[in-house]
Amino acid sequence: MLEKVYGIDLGTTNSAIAIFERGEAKILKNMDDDEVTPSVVVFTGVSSDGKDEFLVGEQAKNMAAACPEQVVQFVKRNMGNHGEIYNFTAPSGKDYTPEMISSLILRKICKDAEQYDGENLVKDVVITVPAYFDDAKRIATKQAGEIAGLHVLRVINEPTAAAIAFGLDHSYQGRILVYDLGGGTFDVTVMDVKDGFFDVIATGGDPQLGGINFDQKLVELIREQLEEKGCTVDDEDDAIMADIREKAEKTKIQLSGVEHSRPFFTIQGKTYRLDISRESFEAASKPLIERTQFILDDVMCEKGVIWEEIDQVLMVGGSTKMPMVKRWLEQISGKEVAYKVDPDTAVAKGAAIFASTLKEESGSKSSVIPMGLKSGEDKEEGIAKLVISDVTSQSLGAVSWDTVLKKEVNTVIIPNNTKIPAKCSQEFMTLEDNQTSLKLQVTEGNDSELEYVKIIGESLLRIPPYPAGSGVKVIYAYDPDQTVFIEVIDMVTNKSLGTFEVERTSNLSNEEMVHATDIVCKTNVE
Amino acid sequence: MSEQEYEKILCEMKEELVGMKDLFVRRLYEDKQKTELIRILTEQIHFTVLEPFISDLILVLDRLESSEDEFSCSVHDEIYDILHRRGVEEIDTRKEFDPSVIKIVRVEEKNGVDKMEIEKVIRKGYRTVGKVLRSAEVAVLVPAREIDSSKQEKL
Repeated sequence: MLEKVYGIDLGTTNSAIAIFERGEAKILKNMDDDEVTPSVVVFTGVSSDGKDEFLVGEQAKNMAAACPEQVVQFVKRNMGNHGEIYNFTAPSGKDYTPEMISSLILRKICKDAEQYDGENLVKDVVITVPAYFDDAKRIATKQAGEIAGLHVLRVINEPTAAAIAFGLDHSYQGRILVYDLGGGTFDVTVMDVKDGFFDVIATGGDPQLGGINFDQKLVELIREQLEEKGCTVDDEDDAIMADIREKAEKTKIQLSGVEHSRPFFTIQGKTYRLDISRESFEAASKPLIERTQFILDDVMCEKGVIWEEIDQVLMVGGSTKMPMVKRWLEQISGKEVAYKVDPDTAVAKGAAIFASTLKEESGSKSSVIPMGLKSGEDKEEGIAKLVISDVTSQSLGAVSWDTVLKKEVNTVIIPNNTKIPAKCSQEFMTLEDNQTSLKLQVTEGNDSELEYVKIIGESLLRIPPYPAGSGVKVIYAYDPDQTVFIEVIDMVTNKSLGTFEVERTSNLSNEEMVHATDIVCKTNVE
Repeated sequence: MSEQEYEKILCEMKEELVGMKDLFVRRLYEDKQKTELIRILTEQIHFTVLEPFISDLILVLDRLESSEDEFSCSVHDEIYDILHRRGVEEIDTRKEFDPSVIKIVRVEEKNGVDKMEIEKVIRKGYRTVGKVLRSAEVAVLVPAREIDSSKQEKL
């Protein structure tokens, strides 16, 4: 068997898998001959030997109405929320965590890819996540891959993968904005790219805004016109509603190329011919575009980014195919928007391209130069070097007393976007005379206000009774496996006061991983 | 001919053979690339041209089906025949329920029903070789859930 590596876009509504070979990234279709697989799981029953039976993808959507309480979708929104105990109980009585549900989706797309590809087992993968995902969610995503039996080489940001798909390699230097409008979610990210490092400056989005909202606007336009022509649309009539929805989607696609679309409807023996103009669709969709603008302005404003600083704007997500999105974005940015790569599959393709460079670093030979990557001084064995460092996605700090503000604040010790492994320290002072204990609360978040950060661990350490103002040094070490190791040093004696590790309660423990893998690996993927 | 002359001829023949072999290998490689390119183009034509065209015609079939007059029925049958000759066929919903080709859009609980059964086809489904163009959309009957009388609130 040949060793290959794959890139996976594990999306909220749809997922895709790609491979990089013969100089280009290629999407591997699923068993339905589609490039994307809905991220939907339906548990249909229990087999005679007690195993859960389930469906994933389009088949799951087809069955969903018959067993709505057994449908799991949008599970990505709950990754890394283990502490909040979001579990799904299957018909067998077994509990499935979000990681396990995601692993079922991963197993399905990998199995389909194996059948499509014909040659190889999918094993080594790179999986993408939104830029706003914190460490707990990234670990959860990696764990989902491991439960599915995959070797997760890296977890990288979706906008980073998109940038790679657009050909931004180690030689590119600049600031980019990635506008990602998918089927059900919207994300915008500003990144600095330098020497192969993709540094996320700011990110934001709306998990409830996407192409389906635009489709709904067309459904409303169609209904309005039908009603104007004297037709009352019965919401309970499944055939008519399905016809309207399907024609709304086709109209949206048609209006990308023509000014008018003229769908026909025959309802209760009477035929209606409608005229939906691109102008009317754009007018109806304006509030949705404005919603994305609001988020975009917020994201840029948060970091003081202005359009003049942005060198490139990339569009990702199928919904960016609508001409109004491109036109509007070019209007507000003053820049020509890049449209070189299929926006539906850019993220998976970018992940595959990046995965192939990891394979090169591990020593396997290849004489292929990836498309979009330029040969240069760093080229080794035909592959240009592309570096995406693992970085902290959130700042790590400690709760401290601000003597000026006279309140507790968050003091950052390891800033976000610091390369991992990382080791940083910060000096503090004791507050009171003869204080004999020190409470160290470890925080995750960039803000100085405590209400905007998360406390992820704490420890109470004994200290000798010193006068107030005695120095203590807090050292944080962030390991490649995302373990946060803390040591506190008494600066008077230069001796260690103690060490502890932050437990990742939002993620599955080793025992839970073993249990989860045991359950998932015994299931049959249809 | 002298031995040297024979050797010279043999060398030339050998060179020519090596050249022909190289050419043959290159042509084989080009043929392989062309075959792959043809496969990709065929796929793209199907995906970007034929499939959307067929799915548009399926919506026309839907409308024609809703009419009962002879002319509409004949046009429906004619369009379907045209599609059928090109590999499109209706999805058979009479067989065992298959979620890869059938989509449930409505569910009704009914007493006396032992297991899920298709009550009505809301919209026909169509497929072509290796691809479902549109799943058949159906309303199903499922066994009525038993109401636990002990949990019912007493009025």
